[in-house]
Amino acid sequence: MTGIKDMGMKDDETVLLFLKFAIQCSGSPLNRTLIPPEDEAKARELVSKGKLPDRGFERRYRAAYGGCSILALEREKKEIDKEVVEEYFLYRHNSNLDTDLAMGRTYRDDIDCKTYPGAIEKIEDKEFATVKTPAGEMRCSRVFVGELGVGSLVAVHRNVIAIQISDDMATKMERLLNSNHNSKRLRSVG
Amino acid sequence: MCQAPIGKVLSMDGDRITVECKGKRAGLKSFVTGLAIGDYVIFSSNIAVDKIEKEEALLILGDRK
Repeated sequence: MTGIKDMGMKDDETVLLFLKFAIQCSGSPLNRTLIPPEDEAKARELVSKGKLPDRGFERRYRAAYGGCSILALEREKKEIDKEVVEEYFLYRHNSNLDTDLAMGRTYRDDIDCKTYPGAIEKIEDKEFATVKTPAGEMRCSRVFVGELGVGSLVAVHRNVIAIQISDDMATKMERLLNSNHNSKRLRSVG
Repeated sequence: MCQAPIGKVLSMDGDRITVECKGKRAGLKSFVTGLAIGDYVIFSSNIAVDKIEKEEALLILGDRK
């Protein structure tokens, strides 16, 4: 049997994309033991500059790394590539959360962990933007996507804009959010 | 902040395992190598994704209470 620990990431771009989503999970009890706040802050700064932390840092996010590994195996890939990371965080992550809630996953604060599509409504300052999402308006960090302006479609994970997305991607994300019976009906992005 | 569920392995049959999580039993598919009964795993969407050390698992589970 192939072990998920054997699954690597294809290249630096893949790692960077993965961290833009996963770094928001640094404070979970599981990750906290491996990712002290100072390491998280350093990694966040590096990723915002398009640079990577120490080699293997991404493996500290065990649940997300495992989820991507399993998806790569399902896609019969020998490594995790950008397509896998994108598919995992945009299209699979939310339904996994809903399934896990029934099995003991817990939210520890008032910010839920789903990935939402959204449109940038207002650039507040160098660090933050207001994003309209199906779950309502969110004040989000924009340090990973500093070049984007009002109207850009984005994927938001825990109040951080991770990446820019296309209209088709936003539509698919919203459809999946609304198709899950555990989710409340969400408003349209547009 | 959310926390993926953690289960204690009760039985194993090929790539299928049964875990105990919060007093309930759950059947999972597992891609984790080197597992033994009594080990702790994190899982997502009914798939075990990684093994974690007992001390860490108990610390996290205790932290949830």
